[in-house]
Amino acid sequence: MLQDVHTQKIAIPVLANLTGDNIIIAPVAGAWIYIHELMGDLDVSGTLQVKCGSVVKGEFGLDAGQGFTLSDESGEDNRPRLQCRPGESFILNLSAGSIFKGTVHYSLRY
Amino acid sequence: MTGTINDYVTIVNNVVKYVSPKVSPTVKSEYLDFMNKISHDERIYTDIGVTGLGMAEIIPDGGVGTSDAPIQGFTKNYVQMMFTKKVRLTFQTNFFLFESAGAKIKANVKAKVLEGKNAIEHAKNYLGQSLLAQGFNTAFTWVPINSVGTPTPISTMGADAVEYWTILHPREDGGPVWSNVVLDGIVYSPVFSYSALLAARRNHALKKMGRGEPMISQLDTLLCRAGSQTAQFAKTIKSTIDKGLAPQQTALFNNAPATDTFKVVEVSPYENLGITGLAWGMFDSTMMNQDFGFQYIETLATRAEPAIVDLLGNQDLVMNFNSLATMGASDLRGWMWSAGDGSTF
Repeated sequence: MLQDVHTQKIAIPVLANLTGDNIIIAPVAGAWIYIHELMGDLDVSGTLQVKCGSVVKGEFGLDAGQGFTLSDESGEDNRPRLQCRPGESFILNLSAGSIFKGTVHYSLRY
Repeated sequence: MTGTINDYVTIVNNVVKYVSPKVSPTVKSEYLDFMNKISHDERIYTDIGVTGLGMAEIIPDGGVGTSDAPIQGFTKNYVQMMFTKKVRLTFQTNFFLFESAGAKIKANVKAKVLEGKNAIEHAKNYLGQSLLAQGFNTAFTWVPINSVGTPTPISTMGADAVEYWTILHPREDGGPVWSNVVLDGIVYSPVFSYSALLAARRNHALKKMGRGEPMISQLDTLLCRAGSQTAQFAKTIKSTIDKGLAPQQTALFNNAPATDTFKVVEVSPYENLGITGLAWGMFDSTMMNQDFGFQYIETLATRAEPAIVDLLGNQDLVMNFNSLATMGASDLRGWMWSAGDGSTF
């Protein structure tokens, strides 16, 4: 049984190279952004914040090259790991000097 | 606009062609799926509530019971509005499109493209769902789709003088305020899901009548936008419940649903001021009556006025379709609503 519905999942590359907020997915009018998986690493150790708009969903201290994966919980069919409300961007916030490279798998819920 | 001959240059040229109507198929009066219809002969219809008695008491032998009486409730006036559709065609337009022996538009197509009654039903459908969608505020400006017509201010206040959807509805006896906005955990207006369905029914069960007594009501009908993900998901959840299974479980074989099934009512996607794909609400269909819920109050059903020719002026053909009706709600205790955006209340 589906536990939620959404559009097809879309995979995009992620390159967050600004100190502070990096908008990874801009808001989509009238839609939630469902984040199913975020993978990547920092080139130098630092702090990674995962945000929906101004709401911090998670904060992680990572070493240089430490692989990071945030993905849907197993058994939760179609239920996203993170939900950004309509009007909110999906944002990665980085501490000074770090670059996050990776991929994000997301969908939209209209 | 006035239809002048230059607006139809391709249709009226000397090439024989099939003129195909581009109109919606039959227009259903969707607002009657969630509104109670009242026929009324006066311009103003006034609704005033009155509570029942409070709970009885226990007294000792020889004691004197406390006096009680019903409490006068809240009042709302509904004023008839004029829904109208005017059609205006110049002399040549009418002649070459419809009247000439070589009329370009045949009678069956003419009936479809000049059907003012459908235009009025679209307006009523759109206004009806706009009341739902805009009900988090006390008023809004209604504008017909396609920029034909003038903006009209519309109130979205119930008899209790607050907006339709709020967490601050006053109670007749001055008791605690009540809410008809879905709250799932700490999230107001959740997107529709099984969890949100359960939340709506939990929220609804806590509502009280005017003297604090339980309302004893069940949300049995879900309303959402046709073709939306909300509608699609609602059908999945409903069908799973109908099978006796829990819509939230991956391993289905040993779980029963935690709530009852429901009916799904879908309204067309007029968009703009109408309900979004994310919005949804539920109501108790047994409370869709003159006492509770949305009212459609009609004085004049849609009437096609006699077509006239503007003989004193430019001889345009003018047709008018009119209806006198109004819509609104006094008491939305029987409803729960969610904007579906995770934040609005």
